[in-house]
Amino acid sequence: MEKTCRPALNLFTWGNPSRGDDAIGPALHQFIEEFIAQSALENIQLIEDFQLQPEHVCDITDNACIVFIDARYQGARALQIEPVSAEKELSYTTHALSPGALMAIYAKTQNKPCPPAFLLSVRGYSFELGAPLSEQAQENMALAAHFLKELLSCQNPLQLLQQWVHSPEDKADA
Amino acid sequence: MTHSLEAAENSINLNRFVIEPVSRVEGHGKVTLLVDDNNQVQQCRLHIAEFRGFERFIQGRPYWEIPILVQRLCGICPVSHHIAAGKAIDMISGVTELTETAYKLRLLLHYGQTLQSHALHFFHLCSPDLLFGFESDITSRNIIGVIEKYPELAMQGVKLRKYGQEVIRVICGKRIHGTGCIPGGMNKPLSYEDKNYLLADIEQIIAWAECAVKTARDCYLANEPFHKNFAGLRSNYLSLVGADGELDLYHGKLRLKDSSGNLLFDQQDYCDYQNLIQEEVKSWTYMKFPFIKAMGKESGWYRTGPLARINNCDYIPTPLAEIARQEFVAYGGKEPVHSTLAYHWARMIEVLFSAEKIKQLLGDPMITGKELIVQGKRRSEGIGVVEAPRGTLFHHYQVGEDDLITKANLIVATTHNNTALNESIRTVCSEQINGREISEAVLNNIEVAIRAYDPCLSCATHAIGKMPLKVEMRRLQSGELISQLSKDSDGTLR
Repeated sequence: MEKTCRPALNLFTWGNPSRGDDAIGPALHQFIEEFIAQSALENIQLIEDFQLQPEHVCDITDNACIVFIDARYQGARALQIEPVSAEKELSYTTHALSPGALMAIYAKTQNKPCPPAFLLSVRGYSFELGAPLSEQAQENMALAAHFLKELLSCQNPLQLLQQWVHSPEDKADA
Repeated sequence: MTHSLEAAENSINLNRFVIEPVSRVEGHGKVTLLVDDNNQVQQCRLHIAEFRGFERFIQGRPYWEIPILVQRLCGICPVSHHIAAGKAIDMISGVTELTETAYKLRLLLHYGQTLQSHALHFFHLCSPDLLFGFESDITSRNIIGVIEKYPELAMQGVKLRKYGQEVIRVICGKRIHGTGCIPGGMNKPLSYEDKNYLLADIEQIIAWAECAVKTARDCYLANEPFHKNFAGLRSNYLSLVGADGELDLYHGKLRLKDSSGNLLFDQQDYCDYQNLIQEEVKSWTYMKFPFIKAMGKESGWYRTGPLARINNCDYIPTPLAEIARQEFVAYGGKEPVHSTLAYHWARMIEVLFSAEKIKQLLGDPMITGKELIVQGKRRSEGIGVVEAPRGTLFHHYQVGEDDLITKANLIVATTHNNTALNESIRTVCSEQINGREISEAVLNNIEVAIRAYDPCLSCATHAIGKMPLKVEMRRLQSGELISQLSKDSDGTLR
């Protein structure tokens, strides 16, 4: 009963499993899928794709908290969580959308305020074709997996995400 | 065809501009321009890092694994690679004919893929240029701008794409990394529930596809004299056609027409492609330049993709798309339609064709059949060719006694169109850019020409923080920076 009362979670993962640390997204997808099954968790929608696309607005469910999960190419932190707001992005350069652009499309097309959304990014280092996940990326993924277990199991995922946004160093050290 | 802007006669003291990456295309490429002090372009080249590395990467892998593995070539057309590889692996398995159900499931998968890929390209990437103008305000010249001004049209594009993705999902089990094609057939039947789920929306999808044809046609004809000549080329056209000359995106034989519409060859077995097509290497780009061997590289280059297919076929075997094709052909008159921007019009005709084919296939009782696999006598080599959304896609594999891939060769649509892409942007330089002060808006004319081909510069690596746009003007010899314009990944213009 308690499980279905908590807010819905929509998790989006993406990446190419054959390009080194770009596989962080697909690998975390597999981890989440298995954890959901093992723990019999409900009210969680897990979506995997190569890239974010406009039609993903159709996957966002009402009253959900959205978490985008991807590899990060730059930055010092192993694991970073940041809020995503609808942004009329000027710079998209490929078929793929950024999380902010997707939320902007949601706002424009669904006539609803954007749900709370966050980007969970894991630092990757090597994105070469055929390369395996780097050791450093695997270590970072372990941190991400630890956080995801907590997120998927807790009763208030929004609060947990907001806590991480506000004090990431403290959380990572812990 | 002259290649006058391929190499400047004297590059000393020319200013160098770089568009990197080319935006709103798949993957990563750049354009370099050498411009004199009067803003006359003296050299223009499109450089692309192709995925030759992938051919090496798949060597040593078991052949039955290849249809799954090659999906990782591209985030937009993984199913095209999956099916082309599947056809090649059929041949290696000694299978020359699938069961009727397996064949029809592959068709359904392929037309679902074409529908979603074309819808994404037109609505998401190209409609901003066509609806707002090539040099319009950059802050609106994107999909979000389209949604703001044309919300109904934009959502039709989103839902067309979504429907194509759903076709893929029900057949392959997942949106990505799914499995459908296996040696000699397909790995699971289509359930009645899934068939009815897809049938429920197909009439609406066809209606939206008709609207898409009208939108693309009307955008083109609204400024026809300009659009007709923009990045215009006269070229040969290569595509597969069916046994009766009909449009067929899954299987057929090769047809080549010249710029006047005359048949140069027809019903050529694609397994003979190495005797038909040769590839030239140039030092300034990773991507090769294919040409028809018998014609030589100067006159033997050609275009593939929707424009080639609609120009080449004798008819389309679905009623609404055939009406649209006839209107397209009538516009061209006695010759093929050569306008590069007519790619969009042809592409939307194929969206309509794909939607109608999906309806036909879903209405066929054999689509839910259970006979899915046939077996044959193992061979050492297989070639699979399909008409992928962007053009003719070749997969060629050789396999050792241990079932491991020993050699792979892929020729993708973007490679076929390499010479045409370069010639188109050179035409734009000559006609749209010469004499003008370089700005983002002016340079977008080059990108509009590139986007018309829907090039797949294939990488699917997209970690956050990549993909800035940077244009620099420097003295060629000294490297002195004269001016620059850059766009960060967060959209900031500097």
